[in-house]
Amino acid sequence: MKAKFPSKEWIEQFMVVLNNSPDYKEAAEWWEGDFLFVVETDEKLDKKATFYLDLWHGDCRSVDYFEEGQEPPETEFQYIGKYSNWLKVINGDLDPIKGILTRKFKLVGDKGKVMRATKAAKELVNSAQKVPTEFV
Amino acid sequence: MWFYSAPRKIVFGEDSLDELKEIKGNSALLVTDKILMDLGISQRVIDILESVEFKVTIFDQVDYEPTIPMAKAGAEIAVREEVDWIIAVGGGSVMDCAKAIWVFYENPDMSIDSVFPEDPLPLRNKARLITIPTTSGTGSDANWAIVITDPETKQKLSVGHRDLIPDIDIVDPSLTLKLPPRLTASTGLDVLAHAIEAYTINWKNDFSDAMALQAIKIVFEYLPKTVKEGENIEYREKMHNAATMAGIAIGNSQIGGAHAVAHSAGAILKIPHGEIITLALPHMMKFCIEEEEVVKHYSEIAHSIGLTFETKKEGAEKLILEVENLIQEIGLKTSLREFGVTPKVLQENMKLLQDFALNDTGSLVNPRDITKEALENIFYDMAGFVKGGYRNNILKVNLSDQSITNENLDLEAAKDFVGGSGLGAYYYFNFLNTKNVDALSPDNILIFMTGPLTGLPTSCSGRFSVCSRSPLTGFWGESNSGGKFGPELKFAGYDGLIIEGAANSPIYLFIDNDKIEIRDASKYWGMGVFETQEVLLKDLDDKSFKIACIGPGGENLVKFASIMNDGGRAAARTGLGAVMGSKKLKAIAVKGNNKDFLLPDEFKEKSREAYEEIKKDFSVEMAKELGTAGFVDAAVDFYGDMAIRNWSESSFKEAYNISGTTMKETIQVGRYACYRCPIGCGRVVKIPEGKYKLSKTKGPEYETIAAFGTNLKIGNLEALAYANYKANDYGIDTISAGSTIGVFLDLVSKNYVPPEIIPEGLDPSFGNPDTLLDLLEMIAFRKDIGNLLAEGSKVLSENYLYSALAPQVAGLEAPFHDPRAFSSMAILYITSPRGACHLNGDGYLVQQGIEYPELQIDNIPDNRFNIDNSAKQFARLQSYRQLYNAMTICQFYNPPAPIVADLLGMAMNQKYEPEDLILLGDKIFALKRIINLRLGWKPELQVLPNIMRKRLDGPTEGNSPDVQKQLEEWYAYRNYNNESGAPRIEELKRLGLENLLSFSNLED
Repeated sequence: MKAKFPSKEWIEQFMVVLNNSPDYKEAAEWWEGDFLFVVETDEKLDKKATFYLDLWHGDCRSVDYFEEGQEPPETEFQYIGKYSNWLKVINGDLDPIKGILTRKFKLVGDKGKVMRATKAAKELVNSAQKVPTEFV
Repeated sequence: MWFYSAPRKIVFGEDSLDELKEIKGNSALLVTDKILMDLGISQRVIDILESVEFKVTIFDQVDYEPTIPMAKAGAEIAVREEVDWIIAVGGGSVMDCAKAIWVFYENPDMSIDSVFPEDPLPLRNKARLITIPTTSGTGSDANWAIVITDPETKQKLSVGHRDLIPDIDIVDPSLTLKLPPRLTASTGLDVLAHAIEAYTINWKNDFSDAMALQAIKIVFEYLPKTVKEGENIEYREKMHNAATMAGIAIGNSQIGGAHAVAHSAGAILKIPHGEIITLALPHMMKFCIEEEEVVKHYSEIAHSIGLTFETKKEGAEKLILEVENLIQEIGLKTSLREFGVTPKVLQENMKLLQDFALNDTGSLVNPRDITKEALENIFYDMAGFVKGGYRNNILKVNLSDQSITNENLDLEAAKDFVGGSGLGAYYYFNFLNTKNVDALSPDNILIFMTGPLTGLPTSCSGRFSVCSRSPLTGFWGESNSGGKFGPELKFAGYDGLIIEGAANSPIYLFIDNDKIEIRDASKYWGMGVFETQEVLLKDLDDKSFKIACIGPGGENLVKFASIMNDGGRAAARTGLGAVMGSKKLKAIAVKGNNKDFLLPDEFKEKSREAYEEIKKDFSVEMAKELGTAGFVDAAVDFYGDMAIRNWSESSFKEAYNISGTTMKETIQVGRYACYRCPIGCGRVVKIPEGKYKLSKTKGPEYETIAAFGTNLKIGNLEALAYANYKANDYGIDTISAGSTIGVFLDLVSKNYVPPEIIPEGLDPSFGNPDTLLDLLEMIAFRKDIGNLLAEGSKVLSENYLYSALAPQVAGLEAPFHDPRAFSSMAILYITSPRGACHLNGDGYLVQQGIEYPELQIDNIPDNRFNIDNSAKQFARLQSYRQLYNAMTICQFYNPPAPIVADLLGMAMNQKYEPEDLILLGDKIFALKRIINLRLGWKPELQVLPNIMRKRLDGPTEGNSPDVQKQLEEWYAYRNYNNESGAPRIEELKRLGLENLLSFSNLED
């Protein structure tokens, strides 16, 4: 069944796909750090949405979803972009590093650590593409 | 109705002083100066007057600038002594003072500025005036003008009245025999200025023309002779007569704009009149030549002095050139800066200079209307500096004959080629027109060039270029570096430094502002780069010097030797350190104090705007936080951009251990920034103990980590930092060194190198830091196999008949951005002017998403493996980067193009739009292509070697660029002939470089 993006269902399905990905497991086996993926509003999305992901040594230990007005937890990293740009990433039209370089996304946190995790980032995107998604 | 006025009697020739015996009267006031008194010249006059029973009272208080109080003091004496003659003995200042004394003597209540030609001026009721000029210049002895300074306003007043013309003018050449050559020259030039202006200004007439033309003819014929042979009475008489004739000419016509400018600048900047009029005359002539009437008059003068020409315009231009040649010939200064005037002084005084000049009589009658703006330009031109970032000064040092000369920057060429490696190419192109020599020949030249932005108060302005023929490739060689050396050269007063010839023994060049010396460097020869800089700075006893030097690599003519500056900054590519070594030039120590530039206020604001923009740039953030090596992880894991094992593998797990992030977490102890750099991508590292112990030094950058690390499969960061330190200390290019070593190890692995060739004890395998360190040393000192490796990867691979293994284009080893990862790097490498190069277009960044919409570099295919139909954008990127290397500015600094255009425009005193930036880059690119053609480059060299094309698994996904297709598109866009490689004639015309057509055997 397709999950709406962004929604709690979507991030929960994403967690399942990710944890079943051997490629992600290998690429992120050293990774320790939680993330907020922030989906900002644009003409297609009228309320901000935030995903929380606890990523630990190739596993996604937990996820959560916050709508506008709710307070997400503080995390080591934040990856922030508009809804339409998130769509491009999920569809594979924009790689996440290019997203930062082209100022379509903003990265908050230790950039060096993230730059090291480019392979893992790629696998995150690959997993996202496997989630049956219904866009708003 | 008009008048012709001249002294009632002019007595000229030898013994004309005897005329004094004929005058009637009792008491005379002798107006003179102390120098003439000391020289005994005034005494000759006194003796004659006393011999006929005159009471002579001496007023010798006149100095080079007569003032109103001075004249009033003289008048008081005249009143007291009731003189019936005022006799002026001296130069223009004395004459003017004597006339003013006369006015005040006869009219005690009159103010000098009320002397007006049309109003009555009561004179000759008490005394009459005799003038006896002792210099041949002023003309004041024969005319009705007074130039006198009002100390209250600092202004030089220029007033006149026909009745001020002396009663008797005694033009005795014997009084000028002892004049020193410099004074003879400058006063003689004043004669010329009088005559030329009298002949061209609005009040000219037939009578004044006759006097002016004859004076001009005499000056051109006799002034150089008189300067050389001051004791020759015939020459002196001619010049003395010319001075008086020119004085009569201006007395009946007028002075013009050159005098207005000279009066103003002379008073404010305290420069003697003869010297300042020398500066003003040619510049005012160039200003006036826009008027048709002036062209006519100048051509008449040109004809009268025997110049031949086809058109009046040509004649007029030839006259100006002839005036400039005369000034050169008689050895006078040609710019205000030679009088110690700095841009700051000029800028601070500009308003006053303009106001004084505009209020001067000369401005009113000048044949072309003088505006404030025009005056500003004329003063800047006279100063020898230009508005913006240039110093208008090229220092030339010939190490063979030890001559040191300065020449003005070719400002017209600068409009096309900007600076840095652009202007460097221009100067090398000119050199090529005279000589085409081997890179290491003593006859080759080595060019250090700054750009218009170098040293300016804007971000990232710390770069400079070094240019010559590359000993590594045999073609055009250029390299640029950061640090502080480039700005310091600018602060010392030079846009560039051209080294000619070669020394017999080691020397270094000492530049302390305008003090230039070629000094012995035997002591430093053999020292490493860091020791050289340390010991030389200690010996200079002044840490403010900035040093560029070579290490053993350059001394031993390693073909990829670098020039190192400010510690570990390197102009490393194309082996120009070997050119420096071939000249026995160990180092250049430079110190400069002048940081003033003539920039509009807007420059500061625009710089701030640029800074705010680059702060938003993620790649800048990355470079700041992790250095260039911050890209290592993404390059290896994500893109496959970083060559692994001589470009033949796709995975290197240990890359993690050698990335910028690891460096930050382990050995990094600080950051290093070039001049005015807010990024600070340089890393400072320290390894406190162990095999690779290092005290604080510059850490390895991305390219070095690639060359020594992934390329040689060495995953030990400490070893890489140590090898980087050693390579820098040897003064060799880490990219070429790492690549060449990689090729050697690959050849060994494929059994192409006979075992007996491999030095004993050397482990010729990838992954061993000791191998790297051993081979670096062998290369630097050309020991064992190092002697062959020192020739570079192309020669090495050809030696073992496996040239496809060398990752080079046109002889230069490729930097570590893989065309299989970012396909644009293929076209950028193979068409680069200096061989495979990462500063000829950072396509790898553009393909990651950094676009330049204002330059139409913003429609790149998302697929990084395929750039079909995008050659235009990468050619434009290539031109933009050519401009960067010319400006010279760091390529990490990328504010939006309109801001770059504004900043560059202000630095060049031009107005640019973004598209102009590409045009400038196109010009520079075309020039370098023509130089390369002249040096033997051929289109057949536009190939990627097989080792860089082999398809690999991993992040490059088995891709390899279609080089041929890229090349076809590129040639079509560039409008170059793809068979000859040359720009087509119509392209050169588009670029305004028609002058290059006749140079090369270009075929359309």
